[in-house]
Amino acid sequence: MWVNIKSKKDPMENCLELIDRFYVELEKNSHSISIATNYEDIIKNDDSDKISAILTIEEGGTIKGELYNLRNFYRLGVRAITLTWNEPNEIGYPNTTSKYRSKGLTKFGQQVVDEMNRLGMLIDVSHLSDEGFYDVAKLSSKPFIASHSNSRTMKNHPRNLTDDMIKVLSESGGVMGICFERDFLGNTEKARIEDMIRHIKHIKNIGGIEVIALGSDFDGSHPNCEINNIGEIEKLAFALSDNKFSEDEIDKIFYKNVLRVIKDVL
Amino acid sequence: MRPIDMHCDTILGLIDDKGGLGLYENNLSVDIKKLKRGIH
Repeated sequence: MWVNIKSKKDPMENCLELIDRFYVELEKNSHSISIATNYEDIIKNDDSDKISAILTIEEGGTIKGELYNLRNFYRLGVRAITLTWNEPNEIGYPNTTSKYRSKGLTKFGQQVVDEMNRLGMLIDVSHLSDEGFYDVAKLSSKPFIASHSNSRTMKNHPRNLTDDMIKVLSESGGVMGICFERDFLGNTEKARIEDMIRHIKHIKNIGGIEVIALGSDFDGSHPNCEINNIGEIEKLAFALSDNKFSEDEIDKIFYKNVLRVIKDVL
Repeated sequence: MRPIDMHCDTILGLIDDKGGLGLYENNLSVDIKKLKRGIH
C-alpha cells in the first residue's frame, strides 16, 4: 500500500481504503490467492497451489505518530512498513535530498523500531536517510530489509545502499531487493538485465549471496525494462545461470533468503 | 516454491512463477490499471 502523505489529507484513511481494496480483491480471487502473515501461511498457501500476498505499507506517516495506529495496522494483517517514502514524517527522513541524509530517526521513530520488533513486523529502510539506516541497524534486535534498493557503488544514486550499508544489512541477517528501476541500475533509457547482474555480482562480493532478494518495484518505476512484467522474471534466472550463478544461489535470490527473514521476524 | 518479490506495488508481495502480475492482468479480476500510481 503506497501512500503519498504530501497529497493525501489523511494518510491513514487513504491506507485503510487501500487495505479494504486488498481484502476485496483477495475475496474475489480466493481460489488462487490468500493473505500470508507468517512463514507457516506461505508454506500452507504454497501447498494449496495458491499465491501468497503479504500486506505491506510504503510510508510510515500512515501511523500518524501513534503506536496504537501501528498496532492496529498489525491487527489488520500488515507485516512490513517502509519507514519513510520521499517526505519527512514522524518517524524519520528520506534520502531524497542531501539535507536529510545525516538526519537519523526521531525519538518516535526509535519507538517504532522497538514496537515493530516486539510485534514481529519487517522494518523496511528503502527510501530512509543514510543516518536513519544506521539507527535502524543499531536499534533493531531483528533482521531488517531494504525492499527495493541496489548498490550505490554500481550506480551512484541516494536510493541505493553503500558498500558499508550492504555489509551492515548482511550482518543483521536482512536482505535487499534488487530493484528494476532504470535510474537505480545504470545510465540507459531502458532498465537492462546486464545491469541487474552487475549489481548482484557486486552485492554478492560485498555482503554475500544471503543478502540478495528481489524488489522489482513493478508499477512503481519507469515501465521501460527488459523484464516487462513479473511473468518474465525467468529472464533474470536465465541470465544469472549464464553468469555462473548456481541453482541454489538463484533460489536464494528468488525466494530462500526472504523466506529466512520472514521466518526469523514474523 | 514461488519467487518472492518484496516490492511489487500492486496488491501482491508474493508472486507467481507461472505469470505473477502478468497472470493477474490477463486472467483474474484484479484491476491492475487502477492500482498503477506513478513512480515511487
